[in-house]
Amino acid sequence: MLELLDLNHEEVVDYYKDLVYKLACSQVRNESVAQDVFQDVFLRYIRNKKKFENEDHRKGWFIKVTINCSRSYFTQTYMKREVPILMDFADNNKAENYIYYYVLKLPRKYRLVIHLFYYEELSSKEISEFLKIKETTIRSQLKRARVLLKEYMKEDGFDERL
Amino acid sequence: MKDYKKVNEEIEVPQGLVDQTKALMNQRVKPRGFIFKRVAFAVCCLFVFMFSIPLVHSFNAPKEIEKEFVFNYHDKEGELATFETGTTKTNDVVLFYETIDYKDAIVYFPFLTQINVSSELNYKDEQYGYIYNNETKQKEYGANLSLTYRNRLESKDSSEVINKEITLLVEDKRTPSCFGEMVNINKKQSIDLYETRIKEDEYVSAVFKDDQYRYQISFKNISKKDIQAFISSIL
Repeated sequence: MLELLDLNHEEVVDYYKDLVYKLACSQVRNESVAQDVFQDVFLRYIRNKKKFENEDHRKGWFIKVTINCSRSYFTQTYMKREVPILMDFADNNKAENYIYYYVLKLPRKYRLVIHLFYYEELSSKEISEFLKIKETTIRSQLKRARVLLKEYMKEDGFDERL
Repeated sequence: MKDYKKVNEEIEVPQGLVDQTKALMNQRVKPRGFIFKRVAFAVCCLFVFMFSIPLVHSFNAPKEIEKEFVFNYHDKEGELATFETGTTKTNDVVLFYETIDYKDAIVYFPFLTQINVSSELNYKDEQYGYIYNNETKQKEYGANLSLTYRNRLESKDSSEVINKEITLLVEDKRTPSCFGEMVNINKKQSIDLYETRIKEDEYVSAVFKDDQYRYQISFKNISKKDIQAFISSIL
């Protein structure tokens, strides 16, 4: 367990910018919206009065708040009427981008566990602790996400990549 | 799934976004409890303001002095009846002084504990006086009343007795309709002290004025400084 680092606000941004931004991207699938979420998360951090016990605690807080901010973005009225433009990466024709494209096609909850498991390289136990969801649920969501990805790719003839 | 990680790593957080976010954070950074401190400060100010009002009034209020120094004038017939309405306390000695127009002056000196009357008695003289002893309930006549007193206020140590001779002369400029009225010099009356000479003796006169009257007490063989201390000790 990483001890709480003595970081000022700017250092916190530098430390967690990748985590927040990439998680937001995977959640909202739109760069401009992800940027809004990014700012929103760090501004919430400023207003936050919670004292963190260690760095994992702070990391968990950022993950949770990023998810909540992304979720609240979709509940906004104007978003219900609009269809967001998918990120450039999702349209990229590079071979390695296909997998990203298919991940973004997944339902949000599956995108989340895939992102945390494969990009943030968190264990299912850590994800369950951060999200306060049972570990078995995380595992089953991961399993279903993989199955869905396989199905998507099979439809497009890329099943051999998985 | 390695490709997924690879693609994610290629995604870069725009530097402009990071800078803008930092600027926003710095703009919004306020000390913890910022609002609470302001509200608390405002409430404190309000309380201070509210409590300061009676406090200011109490400062401005006339000072209540336990030691009363009262001139009380009565006409000759009603002296005892009106005297009882006075504010004398135990061991008080009351000084009567009869003026030329036969009006009695009663002076309450709460600080006097002992009184001696001079040996010269002159009933026929137009200016004569007498002392009413509160303990004996008797008049003691005398001209140029000579008093020995203990000034309890001047001497913090009660064992120390300061003996001084005081001669009291009262100049009465009242009108008869005002007899019996009590004048308390503890109120905001100006007290002027001046030195005077009557016959061969030197006096220091303390003059009190109110809206209608002028009261004068002359102290014999006591310095002006002592009189000042004496008056300030009783006021």
